[in-house]
Amino acid sequence: MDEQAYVESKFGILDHVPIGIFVLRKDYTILFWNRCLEQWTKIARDAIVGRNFDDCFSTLQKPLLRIRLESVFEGGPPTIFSSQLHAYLLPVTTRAGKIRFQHTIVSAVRSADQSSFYALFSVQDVTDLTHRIQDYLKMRDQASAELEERIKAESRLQQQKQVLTGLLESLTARIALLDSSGVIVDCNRAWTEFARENVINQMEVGSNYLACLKATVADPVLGQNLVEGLTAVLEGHLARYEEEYPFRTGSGENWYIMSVTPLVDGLGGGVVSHIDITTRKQAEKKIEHLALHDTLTGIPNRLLFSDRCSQALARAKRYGKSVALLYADLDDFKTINDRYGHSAGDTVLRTVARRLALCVRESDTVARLGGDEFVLLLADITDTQDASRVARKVVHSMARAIKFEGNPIQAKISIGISIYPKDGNSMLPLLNAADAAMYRVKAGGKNRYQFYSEP
Amino acid sequence: MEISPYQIDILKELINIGVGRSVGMLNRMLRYHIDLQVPDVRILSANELVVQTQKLASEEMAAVEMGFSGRFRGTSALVFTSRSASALVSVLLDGDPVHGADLDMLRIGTLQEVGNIVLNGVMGSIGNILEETIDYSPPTFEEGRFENLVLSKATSPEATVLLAQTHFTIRQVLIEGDIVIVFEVGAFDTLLSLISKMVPDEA
Repeated sequence: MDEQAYVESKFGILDHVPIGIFVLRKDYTILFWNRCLEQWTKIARDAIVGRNFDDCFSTLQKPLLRIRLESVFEGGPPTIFSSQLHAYLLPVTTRAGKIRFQHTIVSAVRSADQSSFYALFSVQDVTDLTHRIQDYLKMRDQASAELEERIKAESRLQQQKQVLTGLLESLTARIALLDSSGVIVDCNRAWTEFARENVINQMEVGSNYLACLKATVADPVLGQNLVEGLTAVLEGHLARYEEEYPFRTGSGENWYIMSVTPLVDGLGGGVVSHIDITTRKQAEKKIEHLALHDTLTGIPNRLLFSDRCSQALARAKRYGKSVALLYADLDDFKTINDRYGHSAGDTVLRTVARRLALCVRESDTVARLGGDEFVLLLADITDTQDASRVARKVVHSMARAIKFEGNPIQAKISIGISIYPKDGNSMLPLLNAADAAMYRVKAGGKNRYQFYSEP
Repeated sequence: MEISPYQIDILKELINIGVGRSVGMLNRMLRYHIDLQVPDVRILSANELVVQTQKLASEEMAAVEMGFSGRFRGTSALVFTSRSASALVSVLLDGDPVHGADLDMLRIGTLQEVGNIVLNGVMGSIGNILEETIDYSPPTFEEGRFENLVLSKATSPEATVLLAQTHFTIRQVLIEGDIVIVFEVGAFDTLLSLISKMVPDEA
């Protein structure tokens, strides 16, 4: 049997399998080309059998493939060329024009004369599968790229969060994050420490801060204000709420400012911060005190007196009451200064201020108008007797000598009294009236008092 | 049949030559350098192997198998744990471990070719010293428990098994696999007698 007849008789049955099959002689002459391959390649068996494979296709010319095929031609084990590592051995396309991916197994079969081996190539079309896998891999790569991007973004966010957390932790302000219902979601160290030091359990993460304010703020009006302000911001009705409030801590009364701002516009939730403003408050108080009080004696100055006087007059007008102004001037103060020096004079002024203050009710005002001139404002009196009683007390309070560096200094005082509404309708006429009465006392022998309306 | 240390050495040498040739081929074919070592070659009976590998009983394995027949009968296989198999494929295909039904084909194709190259190297090396041609069946890919893979091909518990542990290192990934050759009764004796001829001083 000649070679071709042998091949046809041996491999003819392979026309009926849906696998591409061809047979090569050791010299790469194509001996068999099955129907399936005719369809795939559009090359008829008659047109290709007998030709050298390398003249028709270049794919088997790679030395690496050649080496592996050599062992098959020597009767060695079958050799596999997978689609994953080689894509294809036959450069053919599908009807749709796509490359046909192939999984090829090459086996040794005895030659016609049994003296050598042919290589039988069975080529399996794995195009659909490969495309499905490629699509999957593409999808997977996309998903993995997206995942990577998300991981990067999360890492950036994490870094930002760390910076922010570090910042928040380093602040002395107490800061907490609330959700839209007022529940504490997160807070900084200062917040936690404040809660611990003042034993406020409701300031923990998870507690409702609105409930905490209601329960812990002693002043009901302030508590109501804080709750309403906080609620308005959390509900989105208010862009910012601030309230200054005093709070008694272990170290005394401190002042704080509570600020609430929305966390993210429109989403609800907010940031609450409490900043200690005690130092500022103290400074403010000091400035206010300095502006309204006499630096030497510490009692109200003319400015504060004017204010108190206006208020007292307004009140008296409203309720039909009387007000007395006692204009007091030290007798012979110049002599004290000349004799004992200005320090002595200052001591006398401070002592007099103190003694004057002791002669009136808490609701009354003793002010220094300048030099050795004082004024006592007695608000809400019903009777001029009230004024004369105080005046007598004042004159009497001067009886005791004032000690200065071992020397007893005898201060005396002359007082002129004016009464609202009898002697004037406003502060200035009343002051003038009292002043005039006082001069009458001075002229008449000092160290006593006189009403303006008295002859 | 007793095996002398010389015969074992020659067997090891044959396996090493075969593996070396395969690695040379893989290195040239793939883009990566592959380091493949065979630290241990052992000869056992099929029974002994069953006992030895019982610890692997529950582990899923993947095997590329190639039967050989004729007077010299048996099965050669390259067996990986499923994890190693996935790692190997993913390293070779530049990706993460692959899963899913369609992807089995991807794994199988790649593993089949790599296994084929390794087994062809080893069997070629053994075949070279045989005086007759071996008939091979097409390589197949199977997954399952160890005893259901290669060993199920042994028709007799007295069959001799050559077990060669292999360590591949590809792009710093270590992949462990076993080359298992089951020689049906008589086949291994044939091989040993041929080896003995190569060791004239041995007797």
